[in-house]
Amino acid sequence: MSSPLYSVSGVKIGGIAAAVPAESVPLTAFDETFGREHVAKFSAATGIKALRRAAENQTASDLSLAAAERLLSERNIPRRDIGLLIFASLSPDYRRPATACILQNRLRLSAGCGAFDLGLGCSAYPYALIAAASLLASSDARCALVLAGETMTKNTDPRDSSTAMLFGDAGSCTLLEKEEDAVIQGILKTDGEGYRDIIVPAGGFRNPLPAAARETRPLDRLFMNGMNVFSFSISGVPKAVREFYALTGTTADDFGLFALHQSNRQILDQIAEKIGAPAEKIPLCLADYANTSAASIPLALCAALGGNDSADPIRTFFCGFGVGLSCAVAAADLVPEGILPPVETDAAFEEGEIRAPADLEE
Amino acid sequence: MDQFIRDFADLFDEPDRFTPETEFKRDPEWSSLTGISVIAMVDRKYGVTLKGRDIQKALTLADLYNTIREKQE
Repeated sequence: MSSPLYSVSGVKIGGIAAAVPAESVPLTAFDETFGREHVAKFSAATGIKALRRAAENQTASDLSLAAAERLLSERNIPRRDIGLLIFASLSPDYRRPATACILQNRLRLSAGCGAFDLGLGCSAYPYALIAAASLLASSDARCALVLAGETMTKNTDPRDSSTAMLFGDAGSCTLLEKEEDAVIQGILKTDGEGYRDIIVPAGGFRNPLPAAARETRPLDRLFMNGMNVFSFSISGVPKAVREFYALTGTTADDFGLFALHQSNRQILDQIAEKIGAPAEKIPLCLADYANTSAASIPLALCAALGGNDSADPIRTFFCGFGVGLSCAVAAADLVPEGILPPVETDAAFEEGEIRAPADLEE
Repeated sequence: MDQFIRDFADLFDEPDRFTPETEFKRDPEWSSLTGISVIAMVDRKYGVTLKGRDIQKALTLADLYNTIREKQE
């Protein structure tokens, strides 16, 4: 049951940027579909007041790219210094190739840059931090990028109130850099028994894509067992956190910031209480952006700390949990001045739109 | 049991209608959202984390209370 502890020396978080679609949908827009009373109750329980919805041709990689461009120019990072790119997401551009390859090309990174996708959702961010930091530490590259983004609104069934109002779209980019004294630590966990608790059954190779006529709930949209997910979040997650505290000899007092996956308010309150995280140390962005899955942790940090020019590092606790079911905990220093406020974008990669075989002809 | 019925009823706007025999999932106010509130309340007050299937299996509030007691042991 116990997890190995990952300890990566010599790598720090050098900056974080986030991007959201320009269209903000207030939850009241769902009054007509789900009833005003239900929407109000949902909003009170989850803390969500609005969500961002990507444009029809806009993907998670478009949003993450906008964040990356901003971060690289703001932090003045030469593109040749980037030796690794991880795209952490379950919202790919295509079934193949990996979206990371498209991002390497669009960001004009070197052909010597390793790039791959990491297929997790709500737990993806701390997972990707640990993976990227470990790979960077074992290489002679200077920098790595973790792009975490999702377009959950393209995954949900608009008739399903429990998910249609819960999720929003966002992208992000986190820069990892070499620094001698820095340490990033973490643990990774999986409870695959709950694989059905958050699932889009069709679109892979196990189940056929649903026929055009859709009489029941389409299988290429999200199904969520809210009660099981809640149960996992308030029991499995605090357990993982206590394990991390024990393995690293830390307590909640050692952390100045708790960057938790923005699942919903009810879950966050319960987790915070169990792990001893005081409310004032937990950045929240649910009200404006809803649950953005893989992007939620960096987005919450950008929304809360973007524009803060303090150069003092804050020991930060990260925890992501959800679809899998999966959970990861990490700890790293954050310097607020490296964290940029979220930007809005409607930009999409038109060249990537392939609507007919002829579009692929050279 | 009485205390549990009160704790359960507090999650609803009009709490006077619940008894041990209430088939709670047939209540007009019941939804997965209230199911989550029940799991949260039981976790806080009874130190037990119910799963979705525990709630699915229980027909009446007495059933649910018995499940909690079993898990506490």
